[in-house]
Amino acid sequence: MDTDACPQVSEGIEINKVADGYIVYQPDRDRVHYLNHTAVLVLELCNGRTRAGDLPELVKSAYDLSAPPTAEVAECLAKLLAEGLVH
Amino acid sequence: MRLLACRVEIDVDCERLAAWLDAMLSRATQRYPVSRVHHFAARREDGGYRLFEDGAPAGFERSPESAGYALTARIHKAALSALPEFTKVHAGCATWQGRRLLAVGPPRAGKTTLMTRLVFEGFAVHGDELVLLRDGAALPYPRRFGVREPTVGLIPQLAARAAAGPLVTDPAALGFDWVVEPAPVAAVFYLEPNHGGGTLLTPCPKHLMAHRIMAQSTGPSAGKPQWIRDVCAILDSASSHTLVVGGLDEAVAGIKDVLQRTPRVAA
Repeated sequence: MDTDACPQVSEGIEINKVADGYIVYQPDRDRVHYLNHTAVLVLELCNGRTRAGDLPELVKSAYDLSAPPTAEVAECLAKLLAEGLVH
Repeated sequence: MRLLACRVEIDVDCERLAAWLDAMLSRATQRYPVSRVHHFAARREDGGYRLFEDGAPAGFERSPESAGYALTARIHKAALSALPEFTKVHAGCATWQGRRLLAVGPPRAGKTTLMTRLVFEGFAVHGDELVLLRDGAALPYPRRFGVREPTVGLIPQLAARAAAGPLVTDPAALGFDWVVEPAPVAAVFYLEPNHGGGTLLTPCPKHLMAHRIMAQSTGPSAGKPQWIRDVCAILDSASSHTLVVGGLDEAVAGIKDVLQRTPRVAA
């Protein structure tokens, strides 16, 4: 995804919260997704206003990491895009 | 007899079949409202038994045992059909010191063995195989426990009872209360068998446990969104653990330790 693009959570998905993640139902594909903490954070940051390129720095701040997890966030975002949870 | 929302009337004209059914069907105390009545019957004919469900023909079986199996399968199917709004999970269910646990696992994960052992460990055991979920509460299905031979070897109290052959039992038959009612869950354990090996109890992330429960359950008639909500609602108030079951002593001690540290969940 273009780092200047602002990904957004897809409409129609149903998010159910558990203590350490989300269980997401995607009606158009009739699929269930089990998201861990990091995926939840990336998903929540996909609000249509945050640039994809800014996501690693935001995750770094959220988890108090020493460096932005650029590769991990890119991989997570790619999965969310591939699954149609964000666009 | 009762099976949760169903009152079941059984009319058979064969003492052997009646005794077989009496041994197989549940006598649990059930605190759940009855909403349906079903009538089952078996009539002896030349060479076998003609079966009926609510007055309609329901097959022909050649022996009392096969007639008994066919009738009990129909009875359980009718009882579960009366509760389509529930998510149904492969799980044992017990309560200890006011805290309810679910032991989720596929067939042969060791649910019956663990639940039968818990009967003798001060737990109120409600079921060994199937639990119905709805609105954040777990309702055990009152089926008698079908104990396999290896389980008998692990639980000395069963040895004398099993001497006569395959053992079907339940907490009441073993001398304890057998009460079935809906209640919230304090802890969920996912069972992984490790027969002959060690026991290991570790925390399980709830999103992973939700995945595991979904894989061991069938959804309600309302569809997948409600299915997910049912599973999440149970996990909402419960702690979540993976229990690799080797030795039963260690497994029981681990479960008690978890429950002791887990707050009671208000109904």
